Amino acid sequence: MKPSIKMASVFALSALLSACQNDDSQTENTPQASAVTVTQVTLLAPTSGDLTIDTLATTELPAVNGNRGGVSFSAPMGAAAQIQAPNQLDQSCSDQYWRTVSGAELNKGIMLAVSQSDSVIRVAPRGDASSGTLQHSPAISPDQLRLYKVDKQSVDKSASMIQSMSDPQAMATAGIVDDSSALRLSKQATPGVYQLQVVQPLGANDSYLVNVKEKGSPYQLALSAPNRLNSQAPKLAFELKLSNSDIALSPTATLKQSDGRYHRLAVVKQGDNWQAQLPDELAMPSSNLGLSEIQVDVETRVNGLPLIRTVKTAFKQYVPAAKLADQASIHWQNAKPTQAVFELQVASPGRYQVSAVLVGTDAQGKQANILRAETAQWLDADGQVSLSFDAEQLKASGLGAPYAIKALELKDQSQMARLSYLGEAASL
Amino acid sequence: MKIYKKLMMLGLFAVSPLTYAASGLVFIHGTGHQTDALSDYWTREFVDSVRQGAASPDNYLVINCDFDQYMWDDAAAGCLAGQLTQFIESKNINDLTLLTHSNGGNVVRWILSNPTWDSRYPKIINATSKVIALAPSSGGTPLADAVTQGNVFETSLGWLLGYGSDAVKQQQVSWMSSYNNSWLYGTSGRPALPSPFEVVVGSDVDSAFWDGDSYCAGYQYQVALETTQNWLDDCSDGFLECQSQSAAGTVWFKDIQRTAGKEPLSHQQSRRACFNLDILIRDHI
Repeated sequence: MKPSIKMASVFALSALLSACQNDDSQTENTPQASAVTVTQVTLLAPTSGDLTIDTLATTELPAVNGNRGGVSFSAPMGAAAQIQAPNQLDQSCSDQYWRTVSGAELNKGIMLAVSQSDSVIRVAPRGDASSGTLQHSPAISPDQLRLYKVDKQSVDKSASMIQSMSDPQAMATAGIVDDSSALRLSKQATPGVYQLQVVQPLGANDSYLVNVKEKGSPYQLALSAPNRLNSQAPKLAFELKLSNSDIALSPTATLKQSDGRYHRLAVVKQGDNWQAQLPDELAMPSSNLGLSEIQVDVETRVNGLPLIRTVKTAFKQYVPAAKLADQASIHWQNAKPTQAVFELQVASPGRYQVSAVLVGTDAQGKQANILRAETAQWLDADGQVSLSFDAEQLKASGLGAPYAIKALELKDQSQMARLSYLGEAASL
Repeated sequence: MKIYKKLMMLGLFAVSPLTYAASGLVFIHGTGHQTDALSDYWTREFVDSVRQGAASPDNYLVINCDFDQYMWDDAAAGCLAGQLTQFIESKNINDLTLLTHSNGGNVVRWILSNPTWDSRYPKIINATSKVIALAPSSGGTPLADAVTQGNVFETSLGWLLGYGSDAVKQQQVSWMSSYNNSWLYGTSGRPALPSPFEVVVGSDVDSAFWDGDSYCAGYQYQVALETTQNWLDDCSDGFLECQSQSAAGTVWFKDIQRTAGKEPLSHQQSRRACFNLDILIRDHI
């Protein structure tokens, strides 16, 4: 049983017993509640790490959360808990690459760059609709695959360089459920070019994903890119670095949207970084579900040997559908804030969520957290959203004036997007 | 009048929820569309053993939902919220322990992190005292990335062909990073979850055919999980890296620190009565 429930039970029993023992009427001395007063505050200017919306735009995509009912919540917060601004970048590292090949190419044999002996090659059938009908390419049993070393343009077929194999059933039991087969390279395999070929011919139009995974390779391709992208942004900036190499890279990039569409992106170098030009048409996904991805491919040579890497990272493409006005109304009672009312400018109907941390000041004059308040409601047009500050939680904190509002955040639950964030929002 | 007051107070006390306030234990499965998770996911042996440690062993619930969907989907978090709410209300639960496995930890974190998404969530948050997360995929898994790699037709056709699900897409590493940064609590630099989220981490896979320990939960899984470790860090349970499992909440223990014989728990074994796991949980709740 929770301590609070134990205490409540004891209190209830005590009340009952005292009621049984004391027949006298009790005089209630309820203090007169003071009047509610309202003050206006201007939100503080954004600083580094904050997220802002400048120009509003409309969206007509179906809402992920179309719930019309308003919900509010407040929870006490650890006095010393750190409040950190949300990350704006996402990083990803890759020691692998993948490419899609046809059955015809696998019949003939495809060339693969391998940079270490214990690499793993996975071959997974993929779907194809180029003929107008859905074609499911058949799985390939790993014993139908051969892997030969290529030396000076000639294929050495004296030995298949495979150490062990896993069939689709085994792979599926471990979570790779796409009919994959996997081969592990022989320990005698040396870095270089290999030919992967099937014994039993495949249909020419069949489609396969070939994934070369080089666990522990010293050559890791690291990608750093924004994790959110405004629908009005024409470019996506990213950083790219290949470990243990200072070779100039010539990356290609692809935008993979959450609805499955792909766009090849034009990439230009900007100083030490890169910029991918987003397509004018079909720039936004057709659904609010899921995330978009930028996939970067690099083919190069390191110490004279071929090296291929694919790396990707996810981001949310969003429409700036609403923003907070720069003023808020603070309601007070008994010199304590009871709620903060924010004005929202809304370009598209949606379910908007506002959250913030209320902080107060202790006897030593030090600021500390009191509570986190949150509310969400559907707005068809400009309107108000109110954060309520729980009086009991405020009292229990033992903190007093001056108060402040921190970590003020606006999210669009319809798009599943964070729209804005203000670390230091207001002094009350 | 005085007698009336006494009777009123006695009556109030008699019907007060405090009278019936109770603890409850809920088993929440991972990715997959479950209709009989007791038999198909957890096993009766595991559930019956664990619940003996609860204050009210008969107040337990095994969740059956469609966790092939995104965690916020009505069929996932919505279904979970519905079953939890019904359990809380029917049993007057105010001290709820949630036992999750794998992606079930993400669905629970979704509810605990987003109280205003759904009007049922606040009641669940207020009733939840503790989450014990067995091998949660809090940081995603590179295996989800591997399944979703592909060409232009991958998403539009791959899902139709049964290659994956929205839950698999969601558990890609960079996707979980995004959700952890924006929508989920409990990871580094983010607000704390409202209830303790205690994690059991599986750190390795044993598949030696001569070792009986490799047969707990099925030998064939152990062999396959060793293959998939090529896509994972050296510290992994064959499906999830230790880093991912410990990304949210606090680590209660890493398998070998407490399991019988210091055996590691593979991803299959972390929801089975292997190496005293059931007893460790039973003694903890």
